[in-house]
Amino acid sequence: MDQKQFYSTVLPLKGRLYRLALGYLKDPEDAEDAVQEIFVKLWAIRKALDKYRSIEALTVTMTKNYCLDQLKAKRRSEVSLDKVIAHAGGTSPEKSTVEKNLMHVILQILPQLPEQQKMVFCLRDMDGLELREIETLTGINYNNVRVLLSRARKTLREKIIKIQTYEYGQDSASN
Amino acid sequence: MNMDRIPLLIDKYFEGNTTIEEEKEIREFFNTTPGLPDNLLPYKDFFMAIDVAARMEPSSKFEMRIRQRIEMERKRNSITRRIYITAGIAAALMLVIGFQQIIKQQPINTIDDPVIAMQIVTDAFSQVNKTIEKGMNSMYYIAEADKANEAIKRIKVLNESVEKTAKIHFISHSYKAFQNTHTRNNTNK
Repeated sequence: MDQKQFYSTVLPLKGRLYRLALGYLKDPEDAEDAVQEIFVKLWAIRKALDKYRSIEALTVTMTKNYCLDQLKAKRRSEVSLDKVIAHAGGTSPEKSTVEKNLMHVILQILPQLPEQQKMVFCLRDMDGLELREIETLTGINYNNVRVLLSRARKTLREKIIKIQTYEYGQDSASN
Repeated sequence: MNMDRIPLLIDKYFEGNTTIEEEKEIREFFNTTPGLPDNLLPYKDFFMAIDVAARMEPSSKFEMRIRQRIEMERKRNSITRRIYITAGIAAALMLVIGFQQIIKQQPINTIDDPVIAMQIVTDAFSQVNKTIEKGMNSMYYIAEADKANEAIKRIKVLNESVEKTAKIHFISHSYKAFQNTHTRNNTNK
């Protein structure tokens, strides 16, 4: 795989891997660093990449493992809202406060999800992949993917409703 | 948008049974519909949060950063490779030069004049010949010496047997002489 091929196959995965890394590390800067490290690792093994049945699956596994290692290496502190907003690339600058708050909320609760639920949720609801694709990428059987997704969504719903009632009260709900 | 359809889709969503299209429909609904009915209000934040999460992207400079980093890795690798190649070529050159030196050193005393060369070669061969001859001569002497030894051994054996016969002869002779004198003495008495 030459440089051109590498860029055309691996670089488009940056968004997905970034969102997945965010689900683990919740800090946008850390997530970018993680994805960058994974790309450098992939570059180092670019000649062997053709041998893999699915480069996408490889990148997902690598991201997951890298993030878990990072989490093991140091206990993360809470990420400030300012940092989240400062690194919220790709979204419109005139984002409402509600939206910024929501982003902060989701980054706080996503890492609390169990490992597999988090993966499935990130790949489906944040990346828009079909369940079959998730099955291929994660190696989790189709029916389990569905069950995990359902559980993840329900857990997140509970948590968000809880935050609504305690932090924002009825104001955010009536907006 | 059918208000009755959304609650059904939401239920389906939490069971993990919605299609991607249906999920887009739900998000679109919560993003665009003002004045939600009470039963749907609690879901507003949830679906908006997910919509926000789905739109999260690495910063705009991120791709550039990755390209720069990979370019750096590539250069670093090519430098190491260049060093290896240079070292390899240098080693090969050293080998070639070394061999050349050895080859050059071998014919030191060459002679251009064929007559002298012939003379020297003949001399050398005769020298060798002489040496071999000397060796052969000594071999001859050794063989001769062996023969002599053999002869001496035989003479020795012969000598011994002669001596033995002489002894026997002497003993018998003296016994006869003794007998003679004895009988003569007896007759004299």
